[in-house]
Amino acid sequence: MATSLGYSKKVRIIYTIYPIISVIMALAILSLVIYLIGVDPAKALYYLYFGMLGNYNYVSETLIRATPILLVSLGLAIAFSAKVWNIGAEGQLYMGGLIAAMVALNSSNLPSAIAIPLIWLAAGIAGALWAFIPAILKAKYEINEIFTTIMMNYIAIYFTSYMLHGPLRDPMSHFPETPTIPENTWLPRIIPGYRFHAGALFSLVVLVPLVYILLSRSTLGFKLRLIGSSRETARYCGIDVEKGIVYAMLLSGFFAGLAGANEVTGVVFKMRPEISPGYGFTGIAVALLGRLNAIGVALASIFMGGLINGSYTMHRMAKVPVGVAYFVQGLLIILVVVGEYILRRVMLERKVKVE
Amino acid sequence: MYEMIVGQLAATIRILTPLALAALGELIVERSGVLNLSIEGIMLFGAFVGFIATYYTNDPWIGILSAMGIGILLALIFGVFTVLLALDQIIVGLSMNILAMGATFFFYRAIFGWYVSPVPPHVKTLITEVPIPGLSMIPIIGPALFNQTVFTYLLLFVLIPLTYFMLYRTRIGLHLRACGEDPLVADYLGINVYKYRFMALVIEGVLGGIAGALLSISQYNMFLDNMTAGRGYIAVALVILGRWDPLRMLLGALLYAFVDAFQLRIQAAGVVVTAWFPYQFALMLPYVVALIALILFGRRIRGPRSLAKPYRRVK
Amino acid sequence: MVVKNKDDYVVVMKGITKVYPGGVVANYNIDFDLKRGEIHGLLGENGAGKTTLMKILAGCLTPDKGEIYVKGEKVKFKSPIDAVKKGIGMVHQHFTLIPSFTVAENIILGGIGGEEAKKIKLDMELIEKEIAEFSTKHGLPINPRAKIEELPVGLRQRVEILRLLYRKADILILDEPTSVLTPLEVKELFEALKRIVKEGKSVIFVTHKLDEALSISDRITVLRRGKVVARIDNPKSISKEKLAELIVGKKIVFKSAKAEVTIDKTVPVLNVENLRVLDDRGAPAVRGLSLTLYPGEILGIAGVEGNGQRELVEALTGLRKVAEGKIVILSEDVTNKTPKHVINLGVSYIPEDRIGRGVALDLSVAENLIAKVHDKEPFSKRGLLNIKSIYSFAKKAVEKFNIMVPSIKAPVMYLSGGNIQKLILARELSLNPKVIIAEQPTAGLDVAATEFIHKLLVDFRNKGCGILLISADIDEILKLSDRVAVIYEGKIVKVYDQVEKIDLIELSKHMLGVTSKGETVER
Repeated sequence: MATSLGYSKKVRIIYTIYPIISVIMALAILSLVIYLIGVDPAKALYYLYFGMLGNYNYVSETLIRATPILLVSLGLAIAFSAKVWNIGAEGQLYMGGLIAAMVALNSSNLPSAIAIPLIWLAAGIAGALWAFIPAILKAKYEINEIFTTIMMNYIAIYFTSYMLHGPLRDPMSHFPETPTIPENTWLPRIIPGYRFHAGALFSLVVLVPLVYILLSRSTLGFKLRLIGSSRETARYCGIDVEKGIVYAMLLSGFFAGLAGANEVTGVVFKMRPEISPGYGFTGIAVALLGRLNAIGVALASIFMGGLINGSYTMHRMAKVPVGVAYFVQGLLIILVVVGEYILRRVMLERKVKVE
Repeated sequence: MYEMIVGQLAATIRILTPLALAALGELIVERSGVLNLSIEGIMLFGAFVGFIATYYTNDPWIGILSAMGIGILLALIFGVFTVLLALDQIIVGLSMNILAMGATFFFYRAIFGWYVSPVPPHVKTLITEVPIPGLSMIPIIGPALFNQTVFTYLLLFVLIPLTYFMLYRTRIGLHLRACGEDPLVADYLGINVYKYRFMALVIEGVLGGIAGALLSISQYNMFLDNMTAGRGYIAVALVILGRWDPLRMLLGALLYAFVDAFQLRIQAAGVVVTAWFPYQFALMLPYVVALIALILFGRRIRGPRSLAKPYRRVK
Repeated sequence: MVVKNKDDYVVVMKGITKVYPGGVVANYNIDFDLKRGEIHGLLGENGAGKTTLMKILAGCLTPDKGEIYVKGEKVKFKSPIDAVKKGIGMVHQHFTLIPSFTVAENIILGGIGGEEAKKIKLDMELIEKEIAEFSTKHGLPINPRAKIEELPVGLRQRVEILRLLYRKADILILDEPTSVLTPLEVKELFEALKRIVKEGKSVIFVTHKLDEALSISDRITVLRRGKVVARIDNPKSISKEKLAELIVGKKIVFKSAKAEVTIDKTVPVLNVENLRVLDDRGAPAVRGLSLTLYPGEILGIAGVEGNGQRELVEALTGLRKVAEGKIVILSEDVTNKTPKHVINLGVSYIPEDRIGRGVALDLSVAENLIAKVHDKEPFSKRGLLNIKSIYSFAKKAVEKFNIMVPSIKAPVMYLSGGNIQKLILARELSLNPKVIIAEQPTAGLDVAATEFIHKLLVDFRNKGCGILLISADIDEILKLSDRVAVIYEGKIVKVYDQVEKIDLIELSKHMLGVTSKGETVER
């Protein structure tokens, strides 16, 4: 999963083509399964495609759906580069969304230009704080973060549920949710007539290059990658590994919190228990699919967003069960991850032979 | 009062069973040097397949057998990727769990999606308790310990002691542990590391499949999305907390199950509708407890020396 | 020496050829034989092909060409177990023991040999008793219940040998067994070998040390660059110099290239006072150690592995906490300061664990080369890396240190062991260090690489650098050091100020903790 300063051109080409091949393979398997349950695969795939990119509206929706996934997986790309396995993005997203709603509900008299960045910042910090406990536990006590972050997920979800049923509940709604946030805290729509909003644009145009530079061109990114490659070597080279691990976790928590803010201020305009259909977990898959590289992650999240939307269309029009997206997601990740490692091993053996 | 204590103990043991079964399987596998996070996915698939098989055949034992089968299959797939191909065990494990979530989500709807009935599909015949005559009459312990399913008896009185004996008093156990400590040395000395690791995985597949099935065709009578709710990961944590020893693991599992049973019963009793102890906090309790347990007892623990390191034969 | 009949050869190897992928010819057309009841010395430099040949005999490698006959029967080994079944066992340079298991468990691991080991149920008490008797019988007594991790190196080797015997080996191969032993332990080993051979077993003794080969072997075979260059049937008849010539292929000049250094030696670059450091398990590893290193000198630390060297080095480089005592580097107190602090003072550290500590395999050659200075100019400015200057530095370093790489952008995992070590040296030495700490810098490297590294170290010493050399290879220590300090059980027990005047027997006594009265110092 090296995002090191690149290898030879030929190798890089293979590494970029392989995910595309995996996508084709995954779709092929999907078609087989669809056929087996009695639906015409061609029809199903057509509606899948249509739901992803069929018209401008669908494209806009795909990008909107992709944004929280993108935000989560950008953060996870950072964490995974340091081999910090943050499985808690879902919980961090929830906390981010919760705080975003709270701040938004209290910002009705602030100008948008101040309120929105404030909300996003608060949400990011909330996410980072939620990641802080697992971070410290790993750095200081070597307690495995996979487990601690998963536990924090459940705690976050239940806590959010409590808040939405109780203190933050909209008294006028049948559902456990916050009141709608004031309009000055809504993310502006970029293109009239479509839901494509500033958060999506911001993430794609600003955050993706930022994370790219962070990981492959900055000293912090170098430190994190060194820690991920060999903790002991990083220590030996003078890097403060504990600090690095905490930074990695905090940064990924921050991005997950932003994802929560994005959904609250740009899509739903309130906080709900169902705010995330598992974006925190999809983000893991996408980060691995994008091979921890900001550009790859961006492409993979757009694809995944489209896949999720397309699967709804496929369900409506071709009666294919919902959940296709997650099934394909699981398939893809296995194919890509496994394939990458096999490729690497093969390259290694060939290299040794040449020498 | 008496009823409450007995009920709590019985519930503890009932909740303990699938958890400890999965954890036992994971323990054996980790002793051989493999970290199998996909136990969560194995349990989930076990719950799913067990449910489907029982639903269509109305025989929960067919359900159990099918769950064992799918468990073995998934464990073998995991083994191919991690033991044979020596890929990163954490990534493969996580990926298989994501796949399991997606696949069970998808296939459940594929099978039942078009039902119009208001009642979700459920099974009518469950794996039920089998009281042991005589012993189940002992006050307090009787109903708690001896009025459980066959699998509880199997776990407590056969599997745990057997595993303990196997690990520490047999050649197989010694060789298994050697695979976990240093597969290079074990291989060199003539121990077939691949064979031991695969055997361990198959055992875990069986136990994990059964554990999952117990959720959908014993404790409940239906399959819910993501029914395992992190139990597989808790099983992994229990192995760590138990320092890879079957008896200590069982102790940790008991404590966890006790807390989980407690919060479930509190909810069911409707005791907490008061504002100062909302039911969500009860739901949180097991996870918080697990976290605290790990913080208190899980620091800087080292397991088998080669745990989670991929091993490839170099010839 | 029991020889049943003059032509009783237990092992005959004919025409053995082995070529590694990449073209390295390790063995070329080698004929080798072993008589029953003899100790046969296999002599040659590092990289001459001795280990490869023996690994072929022991079943760890398959030859590309050639035949092997064991006790008159033609054999084809597919695994070490096949060889074990024919009675061949090998003690490798890296021990094949499991540290957390006991001696008994290690010996019976694999289920070959004694009857008890084959059973499914293990009665450990019985097995331990059996092993205790077994070990005493062979003159190699050991406590079967001790855990390997608690045993000193010499005893671990004993366990390895006992395991061979337990598995009923009658052809024993020992690969460089003395590289981890003190001269006194070597004597003990030789006595044990002579006893073993009296029982009718045969031993192949692989070494690069002339003196040992001459003293223990009944016959000697000399390998050079993968070929047999000499067979000596009567070791007493050959001189050391002639033998050395055969090994290296040209006249040897036993001289070191150390110049006279006129450097102000009043201010030490490194001063350690009464240092106490704990090991990973909390036991004291360094117990009140003091030493001083001056500029322009190489101070060799001689000692058997496991006497606190690792913990000492880690304390010096900031990688391990100091329990008590003081470390002063270049007049600054660095006790318990971070590794970064120590690096910035001008201390370079060449670690023993090259792959686990010295490099990051997934990162590129260039990235590894600047790993310690990545946040300093010109390699980075205001938090961003300067790729151009990184690459240009890397290109220069690769050339200067003659590192064979497919590309400076290639991940280090594609490099061979020797080149990885050269990379580490390139990185460490280009930091312009004032102090160098070198741990086993030439372990496992071939002659060319070893010479290259030795020359580099001497060059830096000549320029005024203070070098701490920790090595298990006494020859290397004696060759390179200006002064030698002996470490035993976490303390410096003796410092020799003049290398030429060192008496080897006295040196090894200090390494083993034997006082001048001949008593062993109690722990």
